[in-house]
Amino acid sequence: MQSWAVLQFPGSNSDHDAFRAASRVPNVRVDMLWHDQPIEKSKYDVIMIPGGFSFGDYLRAGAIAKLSPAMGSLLEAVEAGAHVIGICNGFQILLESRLLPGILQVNKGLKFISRMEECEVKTEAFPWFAKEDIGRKFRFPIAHRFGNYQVKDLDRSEMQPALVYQNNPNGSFQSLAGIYRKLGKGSLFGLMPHPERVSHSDQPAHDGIDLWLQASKRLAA
Amino acid sequence: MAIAESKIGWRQAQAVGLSASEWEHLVSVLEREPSFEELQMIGVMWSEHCSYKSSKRHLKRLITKSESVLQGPGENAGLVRLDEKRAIAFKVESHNHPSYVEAFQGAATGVGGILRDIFTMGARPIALGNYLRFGPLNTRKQQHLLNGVVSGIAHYGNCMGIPTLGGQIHTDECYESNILVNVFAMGLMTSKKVFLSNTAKPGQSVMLWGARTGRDGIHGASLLASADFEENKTQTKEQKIRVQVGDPFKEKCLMEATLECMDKLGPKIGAIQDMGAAGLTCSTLEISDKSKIGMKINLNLVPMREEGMEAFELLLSESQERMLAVVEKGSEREFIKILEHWGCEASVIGETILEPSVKMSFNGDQIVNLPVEKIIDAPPADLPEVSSEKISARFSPEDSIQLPEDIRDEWKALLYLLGLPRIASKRNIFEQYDSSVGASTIFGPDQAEAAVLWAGSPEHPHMGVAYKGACDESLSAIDPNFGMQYAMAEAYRALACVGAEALAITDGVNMGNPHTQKVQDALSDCVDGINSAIEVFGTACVSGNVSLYNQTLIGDHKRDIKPTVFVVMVGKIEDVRKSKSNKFQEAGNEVWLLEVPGSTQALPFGSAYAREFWREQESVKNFVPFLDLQAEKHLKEVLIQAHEKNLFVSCRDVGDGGLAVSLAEACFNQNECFGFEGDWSKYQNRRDYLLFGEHGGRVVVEIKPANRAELIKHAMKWKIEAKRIGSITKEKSFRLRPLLSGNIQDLYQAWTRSLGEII
Repeated sequence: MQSWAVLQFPGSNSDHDAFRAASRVPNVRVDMLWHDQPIEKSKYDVIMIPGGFSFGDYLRAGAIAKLSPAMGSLLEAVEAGAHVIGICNGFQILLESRLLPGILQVNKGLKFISRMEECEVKTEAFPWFAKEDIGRKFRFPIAHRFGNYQVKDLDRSEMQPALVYQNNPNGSFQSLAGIYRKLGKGSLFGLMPHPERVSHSDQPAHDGIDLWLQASKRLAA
Repeated sequence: MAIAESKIGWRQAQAVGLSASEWEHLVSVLEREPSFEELQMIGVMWSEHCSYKSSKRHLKRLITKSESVLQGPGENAGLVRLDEKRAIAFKVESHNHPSYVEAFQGAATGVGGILRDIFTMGARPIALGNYLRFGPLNTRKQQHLLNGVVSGIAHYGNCMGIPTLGGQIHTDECYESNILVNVFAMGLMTSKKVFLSNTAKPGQSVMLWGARTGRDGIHGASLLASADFEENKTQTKEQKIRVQVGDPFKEKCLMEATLECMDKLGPKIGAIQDMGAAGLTCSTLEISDKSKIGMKINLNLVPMREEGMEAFELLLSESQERMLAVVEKGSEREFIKILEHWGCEASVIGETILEPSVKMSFNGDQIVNLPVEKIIDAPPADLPEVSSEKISARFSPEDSIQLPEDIRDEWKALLYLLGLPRIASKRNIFEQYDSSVGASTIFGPDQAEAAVLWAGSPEHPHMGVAYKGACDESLSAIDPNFGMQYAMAEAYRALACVGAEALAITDGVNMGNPHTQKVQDALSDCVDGINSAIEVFGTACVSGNVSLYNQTLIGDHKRDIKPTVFVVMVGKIEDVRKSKSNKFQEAGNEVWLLEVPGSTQALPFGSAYAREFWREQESVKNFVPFLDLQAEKHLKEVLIQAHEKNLFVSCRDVGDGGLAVSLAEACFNQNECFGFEGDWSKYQNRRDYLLFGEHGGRVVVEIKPANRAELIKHAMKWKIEAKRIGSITKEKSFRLRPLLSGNIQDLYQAWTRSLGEII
């Protein structure tokens, strides 16, 4: 049995989506974690930081959330073997925490964009993408106003451009939709698209399901 | 100041909007003059917005009961049964005047208000919709309003994490200085855990949850929403402070806290009501009235945003993100613990009492002592009688009428119609609304005829819900009764196009000055029209909202808006996997028209085409399109059964702009534009009717050639006509031979460009 967790802040709004998506994966137990407690060091295989508007995002997306005890303990958990996936606001929080490089600016059109985007896998990123996934295309929804990812220098040895948009919707550097970093025994994956929102087989597009299934399989192997 | 010393008289009553006869009524039921604070409370309670005094007599005639209705009008939202265990809560509400004064906040707090109505019932909101009206979009002012409203809705809904999946935008001169912003919300809940406002008992604690009370929104309900609305600079500035300011983050936390309280401490909640219009005044009086109890409130215990607030400000404030809850004595700490976890304040401000009066004290003085039953209803308003003479819509012209000439440049007309605001692509608008949050979206904006969500449970793993809002004010302006039947039929048909059985409706009434004969007649006719459709469709009305005094200044005089009544119909889908998109899916498939029989007019009456190209033709202005409610029901049977058998590949209602526009829109699939090829030379009707005629009961379906016989069999069974009108092609041309032919990309450009440039 694998242990996955969803880290919840006041204002998280894809927390239930992430929880339900993970709960449908066979042999996965999911905990909902509140931000005010440090995360137990070696307990979780996967930690999901969901989308939303943590603490209202009135200062800067993720700027308050990074100060929480849970975020303070995240690095240790990763080094001990946890694989963190930060989606949308979760990605913003990882950047604010400096666990991933770069920033997210307002979209190039200055407006919130909600639509389906095709994203291509660029690198291997355990447990999310294997080598044979490179070039594979997923259809994931995006829904954000601050998703224009900019980074000065992506150090290829440690940081990987894991996922790129086919039609760059927001002006991101090199069409980057998600980046990946291997760290200690674990990893960090930050992305703007929302695989957890297309993770039910009754939905016309449900590419999220395979992402979770494959990750869980690779972790078990 | 204590009650005995007060003598305020008629002049102050006028200032809060009371009429002379209302003042007399008040003094006589109280058997004394009211205190200053009491008068403020009565002013707002008896306002149009809170009392429905000018529309009540019509609304009470609406059919509100059916097998699926669990809760009709009168509570925060209506409830219908989804399955043995679950219910859907839904309602539409207006925020018109605030949105004109301050577009962003006005629209945002409209969303906040309707969401509170839903979670107050114990339901978790799962979808939003918005129904908007603006003046013609060629002025900077209207463009500014449109952008403000759209970003306000997006700001609040997106932050709350509730997907916005449907809506409608029309423009008309009558909304120029009185835009309409109606918002709809829907929630999902366990039927056994319903929370109401009529269940409080004496001896319980009255608590205030959520935001602190500030000075915003004072007199919002009485003087902003319920009065003639003049546009001049000084007044608008004054009106701005009556618009509330919303904080969606606070509301998200309040929602989670409230739902958790209901889940864990449900039996200890006596009653609960959201604090919307007229804040503390309305919520205390309504819970007391409905529960037949009284309340004792100490206003000094209300958490305030700033020092030095007066009692009347605390009573009238419409500060957002607040709830009034009546809970069992001794359980207050348990509630406070959950609320504090979510960062919400909670305070006990009083208690419920046996005596059915609301008593409030401030700084040690009792300043309010209102006998609830006597003052809860405004005295009957002095209104014109509804005229006995009815306008009756006409389908067919007499022979003597001179008909406009048939169309000459069909292609140009098609390009023009595709660019009309009500037809053109709204992509730049709906992409600003989060449509994927909630992880249950099956079909969002511009993907199907109705919004569709997965709402499965262990017992019904593939169940879904759908909703569709409709309103055609240009038809209601000709005949309000017919206009409502047409809108009801459109919503009903749209639900059938996604395979949904209609359950019930909510209605958002928007009209002009209720003291005029015309508005009273229109209110009465609209109710008749809705009822006629309910009798056939079985879709009772479970909730709604009325907004009156909507007038636009034209030259020197004010003109009432056209009667604009949004009906949002909610339906249930047994298996969402069988639900169909309204976009063509595959080249080579056949396209068929399913049509109710009986339309003999063969003229494009009441269509977008007629409104644009027959503008000068007075003689045919008052004709309406064909409609047959009984036949609509038969068409629905065909559609639902075809869905069950998976006969269709896609399914689209023939709406604004007629067949040519509907077929073109079906070709505009987001992934790739298809072409269309049809031989229409066998049809003998006028060209304008064939291409752009609109009437009820027509649906375009895409099928695999192999399913042809099965489709015809189903249609015949229900006496629905089925015609093959063409095929989907890979080639990017749009050909309705011999009427028109051209490049699909040109049509796509016309469809996307017009609003694309404004937003």
